[in-house]
Amino acid sequence: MAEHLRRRTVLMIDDEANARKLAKLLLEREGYRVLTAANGEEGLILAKVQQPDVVLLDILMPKTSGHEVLRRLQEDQDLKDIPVIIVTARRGEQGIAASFRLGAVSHIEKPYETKDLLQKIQVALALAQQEESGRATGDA
Amino acid sequence: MIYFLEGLIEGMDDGHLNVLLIEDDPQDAQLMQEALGETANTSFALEWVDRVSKGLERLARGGIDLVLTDLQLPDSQGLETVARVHAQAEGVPIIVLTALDDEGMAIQALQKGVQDYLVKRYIKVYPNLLVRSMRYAIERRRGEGELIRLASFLEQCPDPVLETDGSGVITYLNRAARTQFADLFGSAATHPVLWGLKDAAQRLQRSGATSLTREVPYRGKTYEQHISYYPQSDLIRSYLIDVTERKQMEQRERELAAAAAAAERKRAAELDEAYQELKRTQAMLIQAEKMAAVGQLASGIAHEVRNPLGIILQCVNYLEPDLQSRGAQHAEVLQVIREAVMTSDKIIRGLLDFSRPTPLELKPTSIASVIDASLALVQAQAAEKGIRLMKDVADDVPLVLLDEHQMQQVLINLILNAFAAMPTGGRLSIRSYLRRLTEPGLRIGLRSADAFRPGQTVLVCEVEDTGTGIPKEILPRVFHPFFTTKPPGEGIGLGLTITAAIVEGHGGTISLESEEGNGTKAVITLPVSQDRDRNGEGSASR
Ligand SMILES: Nc1ncnc2c1ncn2[C@@H]1O[C@H](COP(=O)(O)OP(=O)(O)OP(=O)(O)O)[C@@H](O)[C@H]1O
Ligand SMILES: [Mg+2]
Repeated sequence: MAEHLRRRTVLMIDDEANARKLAKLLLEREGYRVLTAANGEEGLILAKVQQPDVVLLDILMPKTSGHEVLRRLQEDQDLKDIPVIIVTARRGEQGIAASFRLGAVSHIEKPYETKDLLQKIQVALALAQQEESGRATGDA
Repeated sequence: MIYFLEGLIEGMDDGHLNVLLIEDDPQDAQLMQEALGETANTSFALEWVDRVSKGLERLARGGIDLVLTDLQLPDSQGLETVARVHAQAEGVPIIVLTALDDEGMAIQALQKGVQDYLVKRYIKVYPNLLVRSMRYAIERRRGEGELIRLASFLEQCPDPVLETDGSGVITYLNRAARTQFADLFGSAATHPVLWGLKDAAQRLQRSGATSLTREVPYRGKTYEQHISYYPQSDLIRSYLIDVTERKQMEQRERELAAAAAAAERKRAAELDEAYQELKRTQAMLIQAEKMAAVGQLASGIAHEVRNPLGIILQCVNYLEPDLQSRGAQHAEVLQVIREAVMTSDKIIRGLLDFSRPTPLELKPTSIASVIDASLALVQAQAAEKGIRLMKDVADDVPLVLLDEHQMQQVLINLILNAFAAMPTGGRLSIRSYLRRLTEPGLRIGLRSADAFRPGQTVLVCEVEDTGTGIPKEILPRVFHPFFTTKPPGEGIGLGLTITAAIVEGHGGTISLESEEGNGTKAVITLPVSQDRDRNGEGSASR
């Protein structure tokens, strides 16, 4: 199957320009296709249009918060299966719990090592693939 | 007494003398004027009268220091003149001037109290004779006056004066002594003012001192007795001063001073107590303030800082592959940046955990399992450092309501502190047992004391090490936020602050017992559920 040969697309939604720039540089070096959005609304549109394989979502953003984005992703039938990794400077389990309740698959706190993020992305992709193939066999 | 005399003699040398000349012969008067004019040292003011009657008038007005008088005057002859002048001005020296060289008359005149007797024609030849004679006359006269005055002075002195000979026999008592010590004559040497006088005299003679002073109690009074001894005349003289009142006053003053000092001390002690109390309260307030400040700071800036930290770390990550290939130094520099980021983040995380402690999820938990989980995490590190781990959990320890995760954080913090204190290895023991409190266990380094009441049963969990211990001076500060003795990058000083916050969140207490060089023991006490406490082993905790 060509599936694993396809370049995986990562959508990063973060209001911090430098964070976006760095993530793009690093993830592209690892072979990912990287899309970035500077706010929630932009991110939701990009997700809808581009159908990324994984979303990296900042929680603390002006206007549309990460949690709001997450909720709307979950509500959208086209988008609800895209795994979301919460990337946040926030500390504390309450926030994490809320993220998981809203359907995030993973969570990483800034500052993080790129290798940790990569690992989480791989896990998230693997899980998504499993679920997809599960659904595929179930549907068949 | 000697010094008194000295004082009196001083007055004698006043250079100006008023001289009254009684002389009916103007030529002789002229002669006297001239004779006196020759003197350089003493100035004489000469007043001349030619009759005794006039002289007496003048004398009555006073101010005359010396009288020069002829014996043969129109209104008085011979010794009668002397007698009349003397009667008018007793104490004023008289020098008789005469034309005759009459020995008999001279002697008679001197017997009448005349100071000197001068023949006029000698004066003509030796003018100095007159002046010298006058000066001697005045001095002699004064001396006699002083002696009389002094004798009566001593007699009239209000303080007792007494004199005995060397064997203690009384030779003189002044009036005050006679009246104040009326019993002196009969009682002899046993009288308080005479007792020991001979010894005193001998002591004075041996030591060469001029006088000594002692206190003598007599009939309810106190005297100060100044004793002097005169070896040549073998006389012992005492001068007594009634100091009863002074002594009483001194005593009163001493009592007052003592009372004042006692009151002062009491006030000082009270003040000190109040001050200490204030300081304690203040210390607590400061601590609370610190906490609040830390909390505010934390929530305010933490997220703002963590974002850029994340970016820095991403940059490091990005540059890493390229720079590593360019040599060890580049890799090292990157590592330094990375560590700086991690340290900063650790501080921020500490702040956040501390300022907004996550709510506890209390579940009935076995403390033994929490200990096991914690030890499992540090096992590798212990082996590496040569530290033996010991665990001892009593059989009767029940399940208690704990947040497993946070309690594990507590133990890890304590264990890591213990490890840091044992750089060359040692032993770490964790114990847990039940204890029935007998008294509030006030210990040094205690964090909170009032949580438990005597009679209550608590779960104790101890983490003990054989490390360096904590110096007495810093022990009270180890729980303060950001207090650390570790080098930058190794500790931020929030471990114990957070630990205490968690334990207290469980309704427990934590204290550190430590002695420098003798290791440290952290003691945690946690409440045991009331049911169990009352019913003993049988009942289960919720
Ligand atoms: N078991 C121990 N033996 C000796 N000293 C100790 C021990 N536990 C704590 N201390 C002293 O108390 C200080 C404060 O400890 P605390 O755990 O609060 O901060 P820290 O260990 O220095 O830093 P961190 O925030 O990384 O824990 C330590 O720096 C150390 O000096
Ligand atoms: Mg510590």
